Amino acid sequence: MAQLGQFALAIAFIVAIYAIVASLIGIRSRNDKLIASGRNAAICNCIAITTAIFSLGYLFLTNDFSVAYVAAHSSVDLPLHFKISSVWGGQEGSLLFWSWILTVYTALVIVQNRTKHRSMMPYVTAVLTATSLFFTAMHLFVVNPFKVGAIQMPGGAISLFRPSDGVGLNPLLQDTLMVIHPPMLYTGMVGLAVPYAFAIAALITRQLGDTWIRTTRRWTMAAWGILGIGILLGGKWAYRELGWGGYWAWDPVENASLMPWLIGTAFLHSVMVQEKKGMLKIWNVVLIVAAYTMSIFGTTLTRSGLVDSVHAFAKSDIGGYFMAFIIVTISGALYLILDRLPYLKPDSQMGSVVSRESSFMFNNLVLLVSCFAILWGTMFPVLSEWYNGNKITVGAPFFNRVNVPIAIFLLFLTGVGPLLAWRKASTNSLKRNFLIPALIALASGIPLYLLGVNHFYAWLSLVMSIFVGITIIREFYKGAQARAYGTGERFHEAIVNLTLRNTRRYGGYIIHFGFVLLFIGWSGQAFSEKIRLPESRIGAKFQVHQYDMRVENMGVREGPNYLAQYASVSLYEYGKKIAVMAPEWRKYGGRDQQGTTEVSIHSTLKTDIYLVFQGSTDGVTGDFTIYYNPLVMWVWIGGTILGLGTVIAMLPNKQTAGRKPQAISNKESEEVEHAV
Amino acid sequence: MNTRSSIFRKLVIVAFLAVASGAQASADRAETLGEGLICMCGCNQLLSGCEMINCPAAPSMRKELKNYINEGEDDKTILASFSAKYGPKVLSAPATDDWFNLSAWVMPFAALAAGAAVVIFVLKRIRTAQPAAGPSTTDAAPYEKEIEEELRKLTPED
Repeated sequence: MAQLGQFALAIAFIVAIYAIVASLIGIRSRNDKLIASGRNAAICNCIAITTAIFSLGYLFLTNDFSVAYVAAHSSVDLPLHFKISSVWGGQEGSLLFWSWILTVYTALVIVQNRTKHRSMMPYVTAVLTATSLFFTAMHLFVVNPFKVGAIQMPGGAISLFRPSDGVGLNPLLQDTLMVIHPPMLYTGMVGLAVPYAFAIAALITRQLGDTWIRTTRRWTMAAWGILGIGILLGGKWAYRELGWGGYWAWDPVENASLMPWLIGTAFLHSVMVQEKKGMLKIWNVVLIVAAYTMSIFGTTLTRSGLVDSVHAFAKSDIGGYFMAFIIVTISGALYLILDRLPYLKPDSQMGSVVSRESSFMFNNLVLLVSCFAILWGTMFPVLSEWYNGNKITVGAPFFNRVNVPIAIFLLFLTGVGPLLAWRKASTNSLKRNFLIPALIALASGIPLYLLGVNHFYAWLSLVMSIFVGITIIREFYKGAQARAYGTGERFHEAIVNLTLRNTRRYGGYIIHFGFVLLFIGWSGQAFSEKIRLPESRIGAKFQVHQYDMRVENMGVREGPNYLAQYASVSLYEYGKKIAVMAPEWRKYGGRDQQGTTEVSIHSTLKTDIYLVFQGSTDGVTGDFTIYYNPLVMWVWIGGTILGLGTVIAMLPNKQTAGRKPQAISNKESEEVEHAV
Repeated sequence: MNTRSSIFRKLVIVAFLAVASGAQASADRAETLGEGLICMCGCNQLLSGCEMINCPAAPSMRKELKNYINEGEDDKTILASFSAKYGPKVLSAPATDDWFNLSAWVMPFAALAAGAAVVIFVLKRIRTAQPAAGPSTTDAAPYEKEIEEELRKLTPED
């Protein structure tokens, strides 16, 4: 099967070259047959890479440890679902997985547009397949997942080596979230290649209106939404698996996924300005090139050993190749942008500084500055080492101090931007839209402070969340009320139909509401508490706020591929027993020398009680750490709503008319006009 | 006798509470300072956040930190002592002692200020400038749709 995988990669390499050449020559010579042949070759490339990834999966499922990558990331006793996730658990496999997703995207784009965009599509095919070709070359010549295991014998001879068992998957990756988090992340990051390819095709063909943007809007939304959910799933994994009580540590791997997402967010907003007003054409092309490049750069950053990370990707010499690829990508795009500048001029003028266009520009600015701050902080250790030989560490305190104020300003824009009118917002509309939410938010600041929210940024974030939340709820309320008057629908029906008839707008509001909830969850971090409880015996009692805990028992149990020490701890709230928590300390065989913690979390809307058990030496005494983490659940709820909003924003608008139309008064018709 | 023993008991309780609150304050300070330091075991985590079992560095570093606190050192001196012993990479954020390290803090906000200036400049420029009459950027999509339909008409059906 390893030979099949290797052969499939070789075929993929050849057909990818053919797909690029055929597409480019075909469009230049206006040879439709050649273009179709290039298209088919790109689909063959997808089939070949699919064969390769399934071959690798088969090698894992059959414990074929003659393949070095399988031996290094799996073992006989590894449960089935982790054997599957082991495919992308290391450097070689994750790059092949990346490749596979890219070729699937390419095939889907080709099939979707087989009778559309005749002049652009051959270039789209060529750009996407060129990226795939680069990755295939990496698989074949640099980080080959099908390389057989070998050892050097005394005397220097190389001998094939097949261990009876593998080293096993990193214990921290043996979590169900690790089965879905990396695929989501890769699907999101790779998905940015589609709008990028269309942007390059639009530049080459000089079709720089909004066709490329409209064609790729759903692809971009899907990639952005999936990447966002993938990032949050990564946070959830870190929260329950790493045992340090938090979900975001500003680690370079985390930053690498956040940066393209931030640029993607800016892009999704600024394309609206191009669609509505024909402005920001250069900016949009620059943004999508930057988002795509950043997703590749993130991959380079975390796999080349350039920066230190808690994540366990093997360091390899792929960095140079990836940097070369990035330089070629940026140079090519830059040349095309400069050459096509006359085609990228705006179609209309900006009406006023207080308008939706300008709010989107500020939104873009804030998102990009946030991305820059993260990039700057991530790269600063490398720069400092280069500058003065001292590798300065840039950890969470730096990123929090720099990014929190920027993020709160962004939250403010989230509330303000969508309610400003295009061209120019009148003073009356500003008052109508913002006066009540602003007053309520400010008024709620006082009870928040009195309730103990005395951390400035947490307070500001909560006040701003209330402001933005109210603006969004009012938009739904006004729109549904007007629709209910106009159509005779009941209020809840009107809300649903209102949303489904303008999915992009109301899906967007739902996404924004998801962000409000995320900010509420993040604010809670300011009030997290940590209590270390070393050498606590059975029967020991602890107290955290209104919660009491009692260690009931400790013991040992055997898992499928690990041995676990567990503790059983009763949790009481105001004296009433509400849960039994069962944290564990696990020791896996093979590569696991230190053992890992499996935390127990009791989550409510108010707070999380997060209990870590670091094992026992005598069976009656153990080390515990308790974290009191307020509002964490709102992060996961916010993420779910963000995902829901993304799906709604991607749906086509419902075209059905409402029932029982009624006469609408002048005032109500104004409301309808404003809301819809 | 009862009064004396009651006073004594109260004094003991007060002394105990004072010691306990002092110990709590010291532990809180150690946690806060631990966020300013990186665990040197190579895990790249904050000292306060490293929960690695049998970590070769965190326990001794925490003990060191506790000693400094008990000796009554101020935060700045403690961080400087760690930096002198382990090198500047032990600090979780760049210090502000020289212009290069300071640039780590300044650059993001400088970028924000510069970006804001650019946005305001662009907004003004777009407001006053007439849309330039450049070459046509008309997309081919609508025409391509017509071409597709024409091609379909020309293609004989099976």
